[in-house]
Amino acid sequence: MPVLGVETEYGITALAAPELSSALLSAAVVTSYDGAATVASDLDWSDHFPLEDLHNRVLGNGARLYVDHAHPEYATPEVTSARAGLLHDLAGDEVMRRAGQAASEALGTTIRLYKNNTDGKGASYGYHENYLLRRSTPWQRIVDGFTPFVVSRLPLIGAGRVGLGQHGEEAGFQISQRADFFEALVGIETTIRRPLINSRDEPHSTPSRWRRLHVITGDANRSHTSTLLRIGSAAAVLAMLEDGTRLPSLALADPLRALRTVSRDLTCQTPIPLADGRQLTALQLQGEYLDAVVAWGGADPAVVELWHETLQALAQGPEEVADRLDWAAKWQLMQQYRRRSGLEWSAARLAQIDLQYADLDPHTSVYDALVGAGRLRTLATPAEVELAIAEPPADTRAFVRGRLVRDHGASVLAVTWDAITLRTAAGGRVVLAQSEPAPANPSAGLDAALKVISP
Amino acid sequence: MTERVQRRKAAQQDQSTPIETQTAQPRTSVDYDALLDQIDAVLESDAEEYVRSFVQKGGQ
Repeated sequence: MPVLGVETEYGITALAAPELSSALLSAAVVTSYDGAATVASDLDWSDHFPLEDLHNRVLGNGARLYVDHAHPEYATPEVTSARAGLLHDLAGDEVMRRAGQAASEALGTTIRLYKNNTDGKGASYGYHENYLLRRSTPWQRIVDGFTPFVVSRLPLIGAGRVGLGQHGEEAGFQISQRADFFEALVGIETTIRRPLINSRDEPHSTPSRWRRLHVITGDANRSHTSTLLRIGSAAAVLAMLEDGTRLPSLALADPLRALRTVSRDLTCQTPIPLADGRQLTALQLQGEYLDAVVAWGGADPAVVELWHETLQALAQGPEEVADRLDWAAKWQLMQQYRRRSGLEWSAARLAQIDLQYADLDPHTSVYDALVGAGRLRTLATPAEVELAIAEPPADTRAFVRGRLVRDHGASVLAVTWDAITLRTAAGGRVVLAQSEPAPANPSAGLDAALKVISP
Repeated sequence: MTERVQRRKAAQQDQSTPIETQTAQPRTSVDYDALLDQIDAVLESDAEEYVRSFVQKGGQ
């Protein structure tokens, strides 16, 4: 299992105060968070955006809370399992919800935060997964092996979207929020001509040893099942590719066209042309990956079981997974609205449900209403999420970062992913390198840091 | 894990007894009426305005 982490850019509005820019609202959210965290202005983080320098905080669980362009963003601490990834993803939602509430009180207007990926008017913002891979893993092997995977996984991880096309120019419903925003196969960009495989290469660790694969195709999910599966299945496939396991060739004839086809196929039964002339559905392609992962043998058994079970259910149609996947839950609910009120897909009410599904406030969130009504299953308890807010993961360098910030914040002068600057007892500065993302003994690293602070 | 296994068993039973699923249909639609009322309660009243004012800047 590779070291991994996820980043969520949240949608943000203040309906009653349209004069407040989203950058200002985002900054208010970041600075208003009152949990264990560094003070925004104390930190020295070498980013190019001045706003980020000023609104950038490291939390007591090792996460990063900051402003990215015009959105508040949460990057989880480094974790080593899909389960920990899910819990820290949910911790990010809860931190953001609390920060939004505090910012609303500070500004005197209600700020709403959304875990979604598009406004339906041409703008998209990302949910990015990060997987640490050995530098020796051939890049082309990743591109070839991972491209059909990110295309075919949409039925498992789609958040559902009302509207077709980047601006929603055509009425309808599709599985993915992000699919219409991909225009290249491989590339370094993340805001224009977004590629299926992102070649940005900032390992935040020893570059000769590690590559950080930055996966930008995913939707931001409320569904616990989708989040767990998205992280767990991708981590398994990448670890398998890293190990050099030979996959059956699943190269697609036209991956970008296939991405749109899969996102628009609510039956999940449309055959996708492969480069070798065969035709497989998205579910069959995922089945090929699952079989290969099972034969490889290195995956988390809970992920394998959930992956298998969800593919089986998806084959029966969206109704069978409406109790666990975002897009199917949304679609089923909207179908009931359409039947009751005779709504067309162009109806504002349906677009509104799409948006309010992603609202982080449980009082105004359609997702939370469905969970409350027993319509959507969850895989984590509030107590587990609370622990992920309070505690850094014990098995990565985030342990040292989080514990220092949480318990010795006054001695922390600067933090980046791979270094921590501490104030010594004598008033000097010591930079503690953290170039290994998953050191053998993080608690020994913390002990060493504490000796710097008070020898 | 246990819950998932139970759910899977339940799902398999559903598949093997399509007649029961059909007879369950009226109950499901009654449930939906109640559910839609619950969802209506969380939705802002002016859908047009809500959707129009949700404008985001692009991100990554």
